[in-house]
Amino acid sequence: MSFVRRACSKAWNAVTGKKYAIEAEELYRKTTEKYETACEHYQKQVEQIGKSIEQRVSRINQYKLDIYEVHFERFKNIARRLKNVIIQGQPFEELFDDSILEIKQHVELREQHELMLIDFDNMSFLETVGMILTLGIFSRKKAKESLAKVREEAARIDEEIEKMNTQLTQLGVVLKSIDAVVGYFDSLILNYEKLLQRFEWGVQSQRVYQMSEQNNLFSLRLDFRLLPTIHIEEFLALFNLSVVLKQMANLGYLTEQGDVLEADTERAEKLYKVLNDKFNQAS
Amino acid sequence: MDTGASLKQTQFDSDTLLDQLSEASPLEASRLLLKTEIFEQRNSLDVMEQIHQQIEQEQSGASSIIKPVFLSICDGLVGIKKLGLKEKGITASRLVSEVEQFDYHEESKVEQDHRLDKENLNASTQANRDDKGAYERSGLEDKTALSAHKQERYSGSSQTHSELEVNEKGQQRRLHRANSKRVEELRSADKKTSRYISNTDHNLPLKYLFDEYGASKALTKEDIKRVANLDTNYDEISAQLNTQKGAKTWTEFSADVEVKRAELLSKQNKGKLSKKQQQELADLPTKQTLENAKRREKVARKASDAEANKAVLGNLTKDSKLAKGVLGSATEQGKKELENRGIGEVVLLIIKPIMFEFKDIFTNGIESGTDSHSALSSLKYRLNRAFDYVKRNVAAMGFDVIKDALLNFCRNIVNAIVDMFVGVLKKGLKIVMEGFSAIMQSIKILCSDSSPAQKGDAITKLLATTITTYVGYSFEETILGFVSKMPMGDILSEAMMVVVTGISSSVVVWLLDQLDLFSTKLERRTQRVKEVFDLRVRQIKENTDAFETTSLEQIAKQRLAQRKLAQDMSDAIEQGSDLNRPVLNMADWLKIDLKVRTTDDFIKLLESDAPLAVN
Repeated sequence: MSFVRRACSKAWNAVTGKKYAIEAEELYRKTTEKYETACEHYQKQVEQIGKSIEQRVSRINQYKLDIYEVHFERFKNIARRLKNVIIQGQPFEELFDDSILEIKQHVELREQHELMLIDFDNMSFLETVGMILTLGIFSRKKAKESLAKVREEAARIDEEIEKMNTQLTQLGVVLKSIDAVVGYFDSLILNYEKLLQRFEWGVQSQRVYQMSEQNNLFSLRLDFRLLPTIHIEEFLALFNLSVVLKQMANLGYLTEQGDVLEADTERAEKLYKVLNDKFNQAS
Repeated sequence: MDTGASLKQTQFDSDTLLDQLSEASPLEASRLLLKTEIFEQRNSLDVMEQIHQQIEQEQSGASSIIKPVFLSICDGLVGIKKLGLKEKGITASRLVSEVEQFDYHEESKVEQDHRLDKENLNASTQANRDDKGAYERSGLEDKTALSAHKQERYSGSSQTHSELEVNEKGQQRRLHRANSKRVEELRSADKKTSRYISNTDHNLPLKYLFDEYGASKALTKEDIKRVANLDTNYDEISAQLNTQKGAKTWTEFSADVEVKRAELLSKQNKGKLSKKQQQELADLPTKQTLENAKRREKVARKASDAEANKAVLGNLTKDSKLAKGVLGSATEQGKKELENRGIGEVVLLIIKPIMFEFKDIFTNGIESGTDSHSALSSLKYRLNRAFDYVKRNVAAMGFDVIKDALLNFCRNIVNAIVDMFVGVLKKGLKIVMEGFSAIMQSIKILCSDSSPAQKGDAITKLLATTITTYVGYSFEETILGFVSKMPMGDILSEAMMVVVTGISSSVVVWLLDQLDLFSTKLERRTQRVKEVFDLRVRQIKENTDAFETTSLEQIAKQRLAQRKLAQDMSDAIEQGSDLNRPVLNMADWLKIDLKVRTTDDFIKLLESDAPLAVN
């Protein structure tokens, strides 16, 4: 009995085209699963990579601030014994925006009702009668069209999934690249500090020497003409390295979106003025 | 298949990325990498929409029917006998399609031609006809059998009933011998006697049987005489009906009677029936009579065919000359076909690459794709290429032609044997014979890799075009009769069958395409969408790999370079050596332009009153 029922059902599905609709629904289910898994993986990965990139950007922003607030200030303090130094421009704080991680032109999986042109489970009495009277010609056509649409959607979704994979790869590469930039800041600031240290020692020793030579204990300025070449070279190196660091601090590394840190500049300018006045009074 | 350049994903150019990364500062690398477009920034739904539009344009439109119809007309012109191209299988549509699809990388194939197949089969059938001379009634009539039949019908009585004739009331007509007393009485009373005198009629007329069976080489005149005089072929009917029927079969006669009856009844209804016509109407056989006659005709035909076919089989097995004759005629026909087909295929094989070269020269220029820089060397290259193609394919083509010829040889043998038989058996065997090529091709299609829907579609079209061609030829006499009455009809009639069968086949294929019984259009569309997206996905993968490899390599190189420069700087600071050089190197590497590059310039700057500005 069950065999007869199964055979009849099979024949009915073949005649009306329901088997195509069933195949379409099954394929849509599989495609949805595949797409959702891919999306979930993509979201997790993007979040993770995004966080890492954000961390690097924050670190770079901190470096930029430190360059202006700590290192340039120290340079100016040491250098003013020889010459007044001004730093033009302001550090640029890069704003990390999640939108840079998004794929452009991503079209999500369309809803099942947009693809299925016939619903055998929710057919009205009239529709069913019509289907029987027309020997399922039109329902079969619609079911086949639905299956074709779902197959095409599955092919299209493969492209969208591949685009997501590509986006992850691209973000991974960007992370490596921004990580390299962090390394550049790191090593340059380290060398800058070392050079400042060395230059400060040189300036201090020359100050002691020139004070003893000139018997002028109140003079705070050093005459650069009396400095040994090595100290002039150190000064030049520091000056050029400051230009390099200043340029690095003024750049945006992922986008051009960001804020110029006005408050710090003002503070630096005020500090510069006070110190300059003191030097002028003293000399 | 053309996926359309506009549908393809653009190929990623890693050289350009490498150049950009090398030219830009390493500090800009991240932004540059983020901005890089690895895949086309285009909505995938737009891509799908474009594929649908392309497919729709290809599948719809009048061009899909106009072109084959136009080519069919050209085929007709090419088919004029004096040119002798038709027999060689060269038609305009085949030439155009072969040239259009020509590709040096593909092997040349010998295509099946339904029209040529049918014409060859017709020629074979024509050659299989036996000539038994002019029809002579005396040679076929068996008076002894006739009189035996009459004797049996009368069985000692002076009267009998007609075997076929009945009046409107369903009563059988009474008949008498020509020399009977009753007939004598009627004659002396000056009355018409033909209604009462009996004749023994050949149900299937002798001439008809002579024409029908006479074409068979396996039947002798004696055989035909025996079959024509079987008892089943005799009917005792009135002399009047026998005269009216004449040399027609009952089927033909019935059709004529019905037309005549309708004509006379119409006149009678209008009141325009003359006395003579009234008599004529009264003398027409009744409907029941005609029904009886046709029923008898069926019985007679069945018995005659069975007897004739039995004789054919007997003669075939006994007479070795017949078998030799079959082989000889099939060989003769096969030779002719092989010669024609061979020449035709060689001509096509030569024309294809030459036409391709001409087309390529006019489209892309003589030097295009030849790696040559002068017109002469390009021409030489092209000619060599065409010659090489012909050389490479001539053997395979020859093999195909011989294979086809062998197949046709077998078919001609079977056809010759089939032509010896008669009646329904012959008709049945003929259908199988004529559909032989279509059946062979259907088997090939069934064994191919196509989807079930595509196979169904291909077989439907194949059978439909085959049937259309054969149906077209079955109306040959009507069509040619009509054409020959037109101006230049004698020349046009040669081409007309090709035009008619070509156009009807094209229309049938177009109609089947429009009906799309197997949803193959949908299948093709889905297949195209899948192919395009597969290609795009593959390209995205390749692009991603190229991007990743190039970028990571460049990032690694930059890291190494920066580490070395930083180390040089650190060493210089610690050792107190020349510091300016490492700083300058670092700035240059970072593509930062330093204005003060020497100690002298720096001292000048220090000497000025202006403060040192870091900018």
